[in-house]
Amino acid sequence: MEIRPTRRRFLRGVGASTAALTVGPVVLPMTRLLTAAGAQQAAAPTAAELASFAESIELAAASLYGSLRPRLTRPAAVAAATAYARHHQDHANLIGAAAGDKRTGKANMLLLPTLNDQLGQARNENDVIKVAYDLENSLASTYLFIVGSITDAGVLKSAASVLPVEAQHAVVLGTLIGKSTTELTAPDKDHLGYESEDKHLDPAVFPTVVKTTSTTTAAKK
Amino acid sequence: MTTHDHPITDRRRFLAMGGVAGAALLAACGTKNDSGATKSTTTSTVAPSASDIAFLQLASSLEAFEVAVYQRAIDGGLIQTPGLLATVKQLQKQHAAHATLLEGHTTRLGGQGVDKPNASLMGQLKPMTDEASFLRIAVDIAQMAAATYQVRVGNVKDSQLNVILASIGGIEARHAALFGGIVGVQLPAASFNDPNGKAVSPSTGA
Repeated sequence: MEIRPTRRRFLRGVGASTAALTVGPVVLPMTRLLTAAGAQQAAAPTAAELASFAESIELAAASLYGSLRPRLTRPAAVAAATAYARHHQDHANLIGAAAGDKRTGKANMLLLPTLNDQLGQARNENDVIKVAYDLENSLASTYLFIVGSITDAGVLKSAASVLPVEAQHAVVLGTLIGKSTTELTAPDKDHLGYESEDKHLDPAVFPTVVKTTSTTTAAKK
Repeated sequence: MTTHDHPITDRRRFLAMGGVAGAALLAACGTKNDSGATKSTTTSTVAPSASDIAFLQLASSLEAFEVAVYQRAIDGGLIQTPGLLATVKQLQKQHAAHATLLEGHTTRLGGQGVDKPNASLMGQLKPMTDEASFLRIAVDIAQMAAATYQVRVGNVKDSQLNVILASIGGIEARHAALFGGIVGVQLPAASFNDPNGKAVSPSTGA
């Protein structure tokens, strides 16, 4: 499942009018309305910006596991959540160090509320685990996106060491909720058996730093 | 810090073709062979690198090795758990597809494609006597493969290969976790995948 920003949080976060969001998918207005660190109009993110972005989504992931753990009862799920929270914190520490002055040290301001909203809608333990499963697949996809976006050796090495771990998280969690072999080992949309960028979290959609938009400002004038 | 090699718009077009598999095919202008698998046929815009070619040959032989190990388990009737045989065959197909893709990129860079299992690794293969022993070996091999791809990311001349190697390496890691879960090997074992001591040395050869 693709992870998209929650609409409610989006509205709260930027104060945009509902009318601006009633047509089309959430993603489109997001990129139009937000002025964000990772969403400048033409400039592709640098390695440092992508490292900062990666740190922010790792911290959001670590936070998610803290929130979902009390809702788990199966020992294997509890053990996984406990370990994975630590893994994501470690990932944030590693990749955040490559962000230099772009480092924020904060969980992604749109991804975290989006995940918490999904968690709030989860009706049972499998639903709870699925939120994490989808996130892990998205994280693996995001690291592949990062690998394909940069040539910086340090960030490449970091991404290459984290990607397999996120992928294995997805397999363990997916197994707990009965995902098929195809879903577990062929996450590409054609199910050929490749990691793909199909589910990557977009820095333009989940920017590291969110600023209020000119839409609100313009409406006041 | 280094920035993009290519505009983000090109990446989006890449993605529209179907993710990394599509990207690989797009880059290679693939053609289908008799088995339906795709092989690349175009010339590269990057100066061919002998080390890239040697690694691709090694990786192709590693994938063919995995195909052969799975086939040995299938032919030997080692797999008894209902449903597991289908899983093994499915993962075997993935390895075969990886091998074909890597072979195609080898020829794209001007090298000789390798389609035989790695002889050195075959010689070191431990005996497989039952399903559990096969699965433990499959876990070890998948981890070895994942490590082998991981150490090469960032160390290739043709930067296009970074995505392909990271993509296949991720799938190898998934295989290890899937089989590991069946035989009680908990993966991931740590926050980071440590390739030290697991990756196949380039000196092993294809």
